[in-house]
Amino acid sequence: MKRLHLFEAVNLQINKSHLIRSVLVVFSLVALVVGGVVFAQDKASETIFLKRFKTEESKRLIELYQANFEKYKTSERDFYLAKAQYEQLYTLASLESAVVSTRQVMEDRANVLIVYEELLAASLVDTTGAELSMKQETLAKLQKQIGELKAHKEVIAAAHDRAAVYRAGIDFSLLVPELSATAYETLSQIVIADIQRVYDKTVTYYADLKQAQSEMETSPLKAEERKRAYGETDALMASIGENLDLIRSSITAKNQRLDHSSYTEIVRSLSSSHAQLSQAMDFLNELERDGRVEAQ
Amino acid sequence: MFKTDKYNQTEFSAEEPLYEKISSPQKPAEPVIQKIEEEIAPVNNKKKKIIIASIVIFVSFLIILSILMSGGGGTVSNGDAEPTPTPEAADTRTPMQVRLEELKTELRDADPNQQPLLFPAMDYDISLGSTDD
Repeated sequence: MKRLHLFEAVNLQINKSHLIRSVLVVFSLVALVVGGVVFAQDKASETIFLKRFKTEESKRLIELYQANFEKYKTSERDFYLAKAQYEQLYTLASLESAVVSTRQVMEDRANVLIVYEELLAASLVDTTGAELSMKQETLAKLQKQIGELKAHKEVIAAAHDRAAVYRAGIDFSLLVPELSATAYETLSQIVIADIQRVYDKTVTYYADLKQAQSEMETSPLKAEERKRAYGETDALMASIGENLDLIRSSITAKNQRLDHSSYTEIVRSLSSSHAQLSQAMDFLNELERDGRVEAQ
Repeated sequence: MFKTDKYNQTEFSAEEPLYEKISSPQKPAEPVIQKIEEEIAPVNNKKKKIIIASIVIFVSFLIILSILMSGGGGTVSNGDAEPTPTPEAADTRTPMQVRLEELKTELRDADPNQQPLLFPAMDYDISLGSTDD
């Protein structure tokens, strides 16, 4: 009987070692995957920032924006705490603390928005391919709003009691829809211009490729095959051009304000053009390779 | 008084081995324990080996991953970004091929879903309430 118990103990020990081994393997795999994903995401987001912000000014602004946003998050947390404390205690001291933290969070929020608008303006200036009149109009709007936000900051600095801080908050809430609309208008122009620029370069490349291949001697069979390939590529390029025209006209013709949902719609349409353009580049790759092989 | 003492210590000493014999049936357990310990010892050794092997594999994976990641991201981190082809690669590619590859890179960077400047997510209704509340 005792022997049986001891063998059970041995089995238990072996099972335990299996369990430890399994846990180790699972832990290693999970750590590897999570670490890899986080690292890749960090790298990816870092890449995006570096690609988008090429000039010294825009790099300085993005760093300032990130620092201001972190500061805002801290003061937002302090504000919620002070407000909750005031609502619980209802004392003069807690009211004073809540008013001070409200002023602070409002000031930090204004700072975030000022740098954000400056960053949008810098990005729009750096963007090639945007329609010039629209670009200038949007830049003027951004400058005006930066001025309004700076004025709002002065109002906050002058607000010393609860009522004045409350009024500053009300005034600010009237600004927000306009700020958001201008931001999405700017972003729409930037993303459209990015695709438009690549499309224009692709059109030029395609024309050059056709020109180079027309100068090569080729068999009638190959010429016929190439003609069909050109036909497919022409149709695809024309379709992309039409889609881009439609998307561009959708933001120029709009009298209503752009918001997050309309911006998302623009991005969705552009993603389709982006995929088509990728397909067109695959076609061009094939055409270029065939021409090269034939020339050899 | 001394006669009344019926316990003879000499006798007791003489009987001592008998007592030992009574308790002796427990002794055969020793070889069994030893045997079990012998059986457990390789398991423990095996466990140690597995732990060491797992750590080595895990660390190797991390090193490989970090090398791959730093190798992949290094060319991009310059910002201006075009991966500089090695002289050998540049020799084998035609100008049209180079142009097409640049276009593809530009297209990847122009992905509209990768826009980092979305309107900041903040509390736009911050208020302590008016004095009338």
